Amino acid sequence: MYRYDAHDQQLVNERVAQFRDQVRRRLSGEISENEFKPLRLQNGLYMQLHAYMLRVAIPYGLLSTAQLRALALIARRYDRGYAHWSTRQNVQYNWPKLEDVPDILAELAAVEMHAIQTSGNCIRNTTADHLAGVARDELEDPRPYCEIIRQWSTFHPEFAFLPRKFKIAVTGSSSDRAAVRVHDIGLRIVEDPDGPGARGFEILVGGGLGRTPRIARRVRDFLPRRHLLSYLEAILRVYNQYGRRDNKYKARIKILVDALGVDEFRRQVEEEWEHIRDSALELTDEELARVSGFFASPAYEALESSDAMIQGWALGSDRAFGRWVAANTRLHKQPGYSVVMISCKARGKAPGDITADQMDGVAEIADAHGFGQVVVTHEQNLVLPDIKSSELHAVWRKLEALELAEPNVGRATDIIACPGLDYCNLANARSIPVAQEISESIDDYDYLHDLGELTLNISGCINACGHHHVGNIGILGIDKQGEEFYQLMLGGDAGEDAALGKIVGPAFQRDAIAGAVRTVLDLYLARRESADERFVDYYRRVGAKPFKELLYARS
Amino acid sequence: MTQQMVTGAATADGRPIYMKRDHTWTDRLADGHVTLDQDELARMLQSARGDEFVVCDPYVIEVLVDRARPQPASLREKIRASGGPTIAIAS
Ligand code: SF4
Repeated sequence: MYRYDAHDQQLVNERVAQFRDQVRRRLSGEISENEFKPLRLQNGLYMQLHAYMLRVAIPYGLLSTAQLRALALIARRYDRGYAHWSTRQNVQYNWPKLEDVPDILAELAAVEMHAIQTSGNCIRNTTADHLAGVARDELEDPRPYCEIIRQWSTFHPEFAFLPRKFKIAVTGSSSDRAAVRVHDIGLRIVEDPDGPGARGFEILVGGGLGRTPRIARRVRDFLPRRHLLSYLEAILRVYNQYGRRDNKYKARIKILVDALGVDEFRRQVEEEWEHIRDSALELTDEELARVSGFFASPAYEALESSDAMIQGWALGSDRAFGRWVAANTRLHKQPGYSVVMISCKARGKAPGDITADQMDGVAEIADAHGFGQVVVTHEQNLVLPDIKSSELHAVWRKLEALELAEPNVGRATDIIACPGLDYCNLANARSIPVAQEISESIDDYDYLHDLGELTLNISGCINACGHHHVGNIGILGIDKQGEEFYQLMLGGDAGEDAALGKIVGPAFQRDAIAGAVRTVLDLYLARRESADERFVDYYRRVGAKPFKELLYARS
Repeated sequence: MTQQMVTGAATADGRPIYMKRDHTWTDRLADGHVTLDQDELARMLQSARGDEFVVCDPYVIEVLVDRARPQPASLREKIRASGGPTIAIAS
């Protein structure tokens, strides 16, 4: 993984010292909250319902075990013993005291981490496929490009005050696990159609969720990779100049692309790009090779393929282990190895929360059975990317002891949920208790596994941090005269066939939403053509009508 | 007319605090000063805004008073006043 050089370390250390002084001045009354707010936000420090919240950046979700242990230590020493994985592969602490935050940032700096640009109208953490570097369907590892984008965008003086926040995602695989079509910019690594062997990017712009959800539009079929930064800079320049600043609800780039039309937007970007395409921003082969060197494959042993063995376990007589193998492991590019998905969605628990002890436990497993790396997913789970398949049983046992072996990754109870009204200042309704109620209502693992691949996403307000628009089943909390109600959406998809879910009918009361979800699931199970027809495929075939008829039959 | 109170987040740790009659602050909503008087409320808010050393972003909330015990009117404020999320935290 990428290691800081002396410049990176100095930059981060200086930022800690600067913020320490700002906090001192705030606590001594020298500066007001109005003066302090933009400073704290630039360091990822929000004010939530009960306390401050510190959001720490995890570049493209990748953590060393030393970093994971530092996150555990911070949770234990400065917070309430737990942390929360966000839907941007970051981590959040819900209870830091203001006076402790400089010390927390110093702990982070000591393991090459920070909270810079995790808030504010700037370029945020660039996210990536969580199976980057190990996926079988990967054309090229996206992480070197993410790191190059991170270095380019960190403290980029021109883009520190954009019209609104800006999110970039990169994937190098045919399956889109990074949701690139719902980002401000989505990058897909592709082969040059005219020159086999050469690589570059398909450029998608103007995707996003929130108040005005949009699937990104294709701005370029192919951009040679050496032009990556100059093209990004051209897009950001057009946005920075023409994106609306008069209305924060219309300030994201998707609205600019809507307003100009994709052809005119593309024309403006290309025009800008002509001025800078051959500038110092060119990504040379040497620089790409240098950064890629940080992401070289670890020293895998030469092993036989384990695919048949894994298949056998998944269907074998040890049902508890078999279920876990079927749901929580993925085939690895390297024969004899597997990818382990760690579910942070145990039944009845808050989705994406993890205790300090669990973090330490995962770090121990990654050191003992892997190569000391862990990945955070945007679905709020963890990945152990390099586990010898022959050690899967031992890893499963250890995860069970940590209560991290819920066999549900990619299934209906692997719910993405934002913090909602339990923590968030902007919320209309709670998300976590709804997720808990749904996951508790699906108490039969055979039923869960029968349902197969299914995404269920919940947001506590229209800002859509829980990605409800792109859940196969999406739930949005709304406030109706002081009461929590929940809109139900069906048919969303964050993957390569990205689609926005459609509201199925009138919103449900708090005590009816989990039952409504169960009705939807039961109907799908009863009427699908076969177990191969996924929920989203069934919905695409039949539409909302049968669901509507059943859900609103009595009203 | 609903009764009202001034609240905000404590500068030190962000916890919800409520203004008392003497314009000092308390962690307990039940000890906060309830008023119907809009002039008094404006004075309280002005005083709170000048007290940034202690409190961030003060604002007015509606409260319902039942047997001399004020309760927040909105779910949001009920959750704030309860001191934490409505779900068990990870342990
Ligand atoms: S979706 Fe709304 S409620 Fe949920 S975390 Fe985002 S802003 Fe808060």
